Amino acid sequence: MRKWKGLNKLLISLAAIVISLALGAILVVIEGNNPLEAYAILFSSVFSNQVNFGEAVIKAVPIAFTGLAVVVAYRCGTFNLGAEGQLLLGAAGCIWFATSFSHLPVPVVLLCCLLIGGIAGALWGLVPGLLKAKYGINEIITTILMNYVAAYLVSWLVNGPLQEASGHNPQTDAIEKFLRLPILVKTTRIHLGVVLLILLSIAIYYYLFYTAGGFRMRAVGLNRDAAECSGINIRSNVLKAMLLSSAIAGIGGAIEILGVQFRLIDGFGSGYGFDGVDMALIGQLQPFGVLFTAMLFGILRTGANSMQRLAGIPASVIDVIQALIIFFVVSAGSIQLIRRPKKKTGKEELS
Amino acid sequence: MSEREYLSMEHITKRFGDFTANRDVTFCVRQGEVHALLGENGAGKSTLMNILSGLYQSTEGEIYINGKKVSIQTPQDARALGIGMVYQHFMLIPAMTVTENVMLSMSGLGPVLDFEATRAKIRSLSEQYHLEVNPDRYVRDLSVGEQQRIEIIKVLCANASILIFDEPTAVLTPAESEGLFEIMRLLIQEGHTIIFISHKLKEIMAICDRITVLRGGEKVCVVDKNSTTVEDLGNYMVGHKVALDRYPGREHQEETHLLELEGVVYSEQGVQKLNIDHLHVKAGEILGIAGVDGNGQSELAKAATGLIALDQGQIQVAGQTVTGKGAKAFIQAGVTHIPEDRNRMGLVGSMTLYENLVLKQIGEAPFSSLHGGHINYKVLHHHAKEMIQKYDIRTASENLPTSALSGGNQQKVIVAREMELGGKLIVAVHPTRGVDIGASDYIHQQLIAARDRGCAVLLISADLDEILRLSDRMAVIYEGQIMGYEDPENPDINRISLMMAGKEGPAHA
Amino acid sequence: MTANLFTLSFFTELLSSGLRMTTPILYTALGETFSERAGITNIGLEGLMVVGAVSSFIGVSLTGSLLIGVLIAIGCGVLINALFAYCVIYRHSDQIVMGMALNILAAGAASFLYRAVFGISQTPEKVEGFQAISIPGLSKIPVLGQVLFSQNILLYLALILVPVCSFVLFKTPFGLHLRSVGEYPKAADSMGIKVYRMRFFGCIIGGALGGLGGAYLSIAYMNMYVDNLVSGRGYIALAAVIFGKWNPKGVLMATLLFGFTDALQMRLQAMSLGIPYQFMAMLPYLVTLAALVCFVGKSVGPAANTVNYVRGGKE
Repeated sequence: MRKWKGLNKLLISLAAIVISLALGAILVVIEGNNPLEAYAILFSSVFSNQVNFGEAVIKAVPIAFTGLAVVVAYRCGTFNLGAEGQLLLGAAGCIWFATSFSHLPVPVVLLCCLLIGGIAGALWGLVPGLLKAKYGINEIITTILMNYVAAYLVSWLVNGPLQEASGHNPQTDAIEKFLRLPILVKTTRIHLGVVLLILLSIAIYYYLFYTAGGFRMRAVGLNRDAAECSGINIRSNVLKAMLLSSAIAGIGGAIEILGVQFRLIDGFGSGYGFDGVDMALIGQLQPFGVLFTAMLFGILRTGANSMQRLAGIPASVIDVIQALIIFFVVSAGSIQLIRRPKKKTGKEELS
Repeated sequence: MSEREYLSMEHITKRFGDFTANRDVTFCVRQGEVHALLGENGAGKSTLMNILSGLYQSTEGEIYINGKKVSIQTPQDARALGIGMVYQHFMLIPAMTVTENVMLSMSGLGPVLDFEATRAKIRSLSEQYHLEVNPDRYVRDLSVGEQQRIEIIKVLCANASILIFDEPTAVLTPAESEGLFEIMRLLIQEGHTIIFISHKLKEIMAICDRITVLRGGEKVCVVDKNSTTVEDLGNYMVGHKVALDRYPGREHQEETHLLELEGVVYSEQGVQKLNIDHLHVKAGEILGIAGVDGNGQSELAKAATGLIALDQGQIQVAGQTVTGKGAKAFIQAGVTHIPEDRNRMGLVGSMTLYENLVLKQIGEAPFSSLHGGHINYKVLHHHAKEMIQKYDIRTASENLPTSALSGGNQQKVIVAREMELGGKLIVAVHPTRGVDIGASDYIHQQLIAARDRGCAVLLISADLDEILRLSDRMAVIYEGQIMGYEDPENPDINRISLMMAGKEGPAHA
Repeated sequence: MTANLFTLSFFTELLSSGLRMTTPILYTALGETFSERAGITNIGLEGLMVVGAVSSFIGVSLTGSLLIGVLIAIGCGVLINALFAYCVIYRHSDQIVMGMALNILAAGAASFLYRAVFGISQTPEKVEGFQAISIPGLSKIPVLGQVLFSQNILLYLALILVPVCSFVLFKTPFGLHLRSVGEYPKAADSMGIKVYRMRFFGCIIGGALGGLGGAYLSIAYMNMYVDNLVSGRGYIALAAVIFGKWNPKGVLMATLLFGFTDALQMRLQAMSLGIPYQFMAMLPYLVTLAALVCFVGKSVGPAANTVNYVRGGKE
């Protein structure tokens, strides 16, 4: 039964992807191009070229992290739309440590970078988490608002305290070469962070489905009242989920700095948070689903860039396709948060 | 049928998917009578009336009014034909005023709302039928009785001639019910026709002219009030002799108090919901709490299970003071809970049977090892299969989500989980509400068995018969206060009913 | 430098630009008030504004007619919200998730459309947008004249809409029915009110006004379209509905708060007070957060807001 349900959801996601690609083809036709040719360029450019494939993987990594972040929060009935801000703060924490303490032993620096990235992300998520757990303030708006605050905060950092020594550009200094995450596949930019990502997804999967803590968290997400009656503390679970979720995003930010960006630039991370929501939903709120979805979008976006270059079709056609997939997945009704009006006090529910 | 009566619903069948709610029901009402529609929960009364009021459409069958065939597709159709329904669960919007609520039910309002005209109409109707309401108050501030009066005004404003009352006394005290009957008599005098849905036999005998009995979605009979008795009606309704026998009480009582409430006060948004000087349940007894719905029963249950934080007072469970420590501490002290709303509070509907059966125990061996660090799914499945056997849960598999089970079986899942916890105190709230008779008997037996094992049971129910059949002691709650105690073996029903109406001062055991 | 902080012209400027910053949020929040009063929360307001902004901009730059631009924005807003409404009302999709999808769809579609029409260029296109209309006589009143009576027509329209919306919501049968489906849809249903249809109407009004709010940004305020033009105003509008207590007059007050904060931070930025501009730019978002914290619990919204209604269902 459970397996059937899982298969069903997989089919919904696959069908949504196929239909959306087909609708995307119509856009390509309107643009005056041959869709078959366009898709052929899109996919062949990724799969026939090791470098491009590597780029696809690189593109998948940060949105997979934010996707996992969204999954963890969503499973507890909390909508973390602030993964972008949390990722940014994680990146900022990481770059600060990496540029200030590069004299320490490399493994120590790297571990601390990840740790601080996670903590910085979690602190950013703590604000909406506390507001929700303590005052019942809807996290949907607060997490989004926190994204804007984070973007300006980082903008200030890279223009001020953390700006590169030369002071020319709105960016930080690059981290030392020896602090960069090792490359796993030659000629590509695929770095050790990919392995960390996969390990983290396994850990999240295990936590959610094989530990009592994860079980309780899911129970809170599916029916708060029943969970409460079963002696499960709602507030602490919501807070825990929010912290865990934002720490994951923060670690994602740190890994992006250590593996790909090497420095923090003004405007970094834009769009990663909402992409994460997409990955989570198209991935049917499954950690491994998120990995596959992120990879798919890595491929689509890398290929779309080639398509824009070679056939002159705007790469943003992929954004439209992405949105269409979401529309189909969501309207297929497989994703429902339990929501009902609270009778106890007006405080609890706030729209 | 040579001549059709005033209102005549003929050969009505209504199916919801595989489920048949009404099968070939014919229901006729004469002009100017009070006609009772009698049946147990789930007998198909509400479905039949929802068809008449246009909320549902019948699968088969015809409706005639004054001999003319009519088609009722929507509530507007019903309204146009002069049919109005006074719902059991009031169809009122708390955030709006009385006037706004009345206007909602009116058609032909024109482009702009005419508050003054509506107010005037409400005033004149309330004078004519003694339906006192203030048109400018918000419904959220009104008492249940007042809200019911608005429902009646709404129906009258729509010029209804046939009024359907759906279990109108379920939310009223005996005195308020008497007032309602006065209003109904007045309505009849003014030429209205009334359909009275109920399962309370005495009320039916008091107010109705004729009675149609439904059972299991089918019509059993139509009888005249003067040619029947309460006993007969009970038999028609249930289909067999009503088993109203008490379960035997326990032989020897113990003296340990497993639950003790002392000076408990609780308010919500400035309204006092609970004020209990003292209440205790001893080991090996069932204390029944009777009362009209909404008089603090939910809050009492929540207080006894640690789900609300009290303003004042102490709660002890099995000698431990657990006041203010939260639901988890209560559970650890030995409190188990059969909550009033199984879907909302008892089960996580989209989780499977095997998961719901260990909702409280998941962190403990053998269900998980390493202090909750690893869930043993094999044990969960095995446990679930055992429970399905032991508690007679009818399901295709333990892998189904509990939302796929029937109400009775859902309740059994909760009972299984709570009984297996081996607690010292069971707080059972409306444990058999909306549950079929088989499952209901089974749940009663489980409660009795738990008591005989030495458990304390706090049984809160709006069903007085349930209280009388199971309790060793019983109390009546009114507006959050314990009004007094009665001997459930030789109850003075009059006194109980007075206490339910708040007529007797608070008393101690 | 602080000397000229409190001059009259500073205040006049601040107030009039505050009103201009208020207008797009006001339109959108008024629309959302209808939608939420009917029980549908649309978190896709941001996307709605993006759609309004880009479509009206394209309309104006292709036809040169501002009226057509406005109509196109309204049309696109209605269209996209109709799609949203169909999914959440008739197919019972989750409102929040669907709103997110709308945001993403709008962002993608907008940048795709813009590039499809104008190509991939570095310098943004400009259009001739709405001009300020000085109301004869009234505009001569000191301070007030410049603040209230020397603005463009879309701004006047937004202010006029506030009492109009109040009237519609609270004094007409339409408003009564709309509110009833957001409070207790089952009760409305029992009285023969078409719950789905009323909710749909609520969404349509939300779409039209949201589109207009977006259009204001691109053809009355900036007179150009760039990818992050809306920059969170949709979410701020969403918050404004909450502290406006789902009530047009309250919504006006709430949006004024944000509009003036925004205008103030821009003035302060321009004055180079030595505070990094990023902290000024954060202000509107921080004020929104603070307002959420202060107002929560004090305002209770429509009881059935964000709760889908299934006809004949249990709830």
